[in-house]
Amino acid sequence: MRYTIILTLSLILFSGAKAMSILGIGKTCVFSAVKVRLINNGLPMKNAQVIRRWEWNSLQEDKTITDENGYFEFPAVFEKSLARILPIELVIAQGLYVVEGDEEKKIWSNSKREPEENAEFNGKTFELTCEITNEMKTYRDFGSRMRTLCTWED
Amino acid sequence: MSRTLTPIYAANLASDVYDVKSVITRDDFLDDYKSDMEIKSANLPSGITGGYIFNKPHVIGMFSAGKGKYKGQAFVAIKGTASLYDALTDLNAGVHSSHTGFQVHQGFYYALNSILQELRQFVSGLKGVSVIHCVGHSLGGAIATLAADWIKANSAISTVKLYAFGSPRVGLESFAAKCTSRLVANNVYRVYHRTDPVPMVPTWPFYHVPTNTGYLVDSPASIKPWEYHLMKHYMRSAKSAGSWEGMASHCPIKHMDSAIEHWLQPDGVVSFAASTLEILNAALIYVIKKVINLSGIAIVVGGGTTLTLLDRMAMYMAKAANASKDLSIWVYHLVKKMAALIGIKIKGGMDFTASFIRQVFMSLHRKISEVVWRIGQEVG
Repeated sequence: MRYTIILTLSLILFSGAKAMSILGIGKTCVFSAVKVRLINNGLPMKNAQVIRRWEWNSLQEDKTITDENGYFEFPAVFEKSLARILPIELVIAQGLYVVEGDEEKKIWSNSKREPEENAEFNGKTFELTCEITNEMKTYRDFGSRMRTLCTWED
Repeated sequence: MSRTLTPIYAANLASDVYDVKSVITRDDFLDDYKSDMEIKSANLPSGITGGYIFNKPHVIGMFSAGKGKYKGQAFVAIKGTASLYDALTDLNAGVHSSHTGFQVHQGFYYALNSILQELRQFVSGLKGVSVIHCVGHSLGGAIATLAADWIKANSAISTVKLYAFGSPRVGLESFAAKCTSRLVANNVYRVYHRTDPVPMVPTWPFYHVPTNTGYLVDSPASIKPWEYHLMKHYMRSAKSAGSWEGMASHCPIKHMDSAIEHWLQPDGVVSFAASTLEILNAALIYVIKKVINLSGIAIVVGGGTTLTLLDRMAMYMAKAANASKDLSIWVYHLVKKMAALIGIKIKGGMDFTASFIRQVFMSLHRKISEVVWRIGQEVG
């Protein structure tokens, strides 16, 4: 029976993998390009350290510093995994954190469920304004569950 | 106070519980549910869902007592296949006696087994709880099914409700029947999209719980074979239905014995459409039951041999075919029909050996797998 199920699913997987290679879907965007303006009570947060973390195959992070106007950017990140050809839910945990003294403050997080770039905002570019004094809220506007204190243009 | 989760609440929970795995999103999950759950006392069970191929402990779900409008209730939410390790469980098929004594998918058994101690502690520590909601998607739905069955069999909790989205079949008929009667069918909300291939596996002799109902939601064709297995579509379907009444409850097609016999007869039509899977499954069960009832041959699974369930099935079929004329005619019709479906013509008077029957079964499964994949384009 084990062989039967393996055979059945293997063939399904093979068929799926074939379809994916044709469409070039194997590449997965684990974090889209980010452009954020960070403010505190309306004033730009200069030279603040920002950490971006994501977890799909493993927990990863990169860091940057805000500029004079409170802006920071990260490029898009792509990963590949055999898991993408299996019939499973794609779940990529994403987070943006601002370092304040010895503490990290989470300003945005999301459970990315689509492999495409900019899926976080349903195809729109990832551009936010983050007022650090705002409360974190949960949004389900883009399919996945997003929690943030940031705002974006509709 | 409602004692049933709404479709959208259950679907959101089945989706959100994936987020307990990562430290990035775990706090968000706990924060979002803090008004409904005793989040401080919530247990985050670490389980092993890689079967015996790869074992990697990690958080696979959440148990919590309810609060606020869910006071007197509790939640067991299990996440589905979200990593390569988890996906391997799906390939780790075989059967094992469940913790309640019935034959179930081996991978699901081990997945539940890895969190059973925590589940037992959680359930025994509940005070004033009369309803437990077990929720899950995909593999999570399968483990939630086993968890619901175990809780009902081993606790005084009066009502255990199961909400499973796109769940594969969990166990053999005896398990499905016992679990359905234990939970009571109307406490089970098994939701599946017509073009979701995962609920179609494992194929016979595995059965769904409940055995005779389910929330079948129409879904269109998709170029991606398992597009409608994803939680985003189940959440959309749940949102659009609004209520369980709004989510049409369809009984799986129940084939009458006469229809099965007609299909098995030599002059019955042989075509390989998506609906063939349903009638073939029914015909297999029909003949297997005849074999068991008329010959007294029990299809024993498990034990210390290396024979698979398929080996045993083929062996008993061959044995039954040679044991009595009443049986041999039905085994003959079935094998002939299965062979016809894979393009093999069987001549009269041919002996059926176990090895030949097994080969026919295997080849047919290969064909079924192709149909399962094509279903995404054929149905809708």
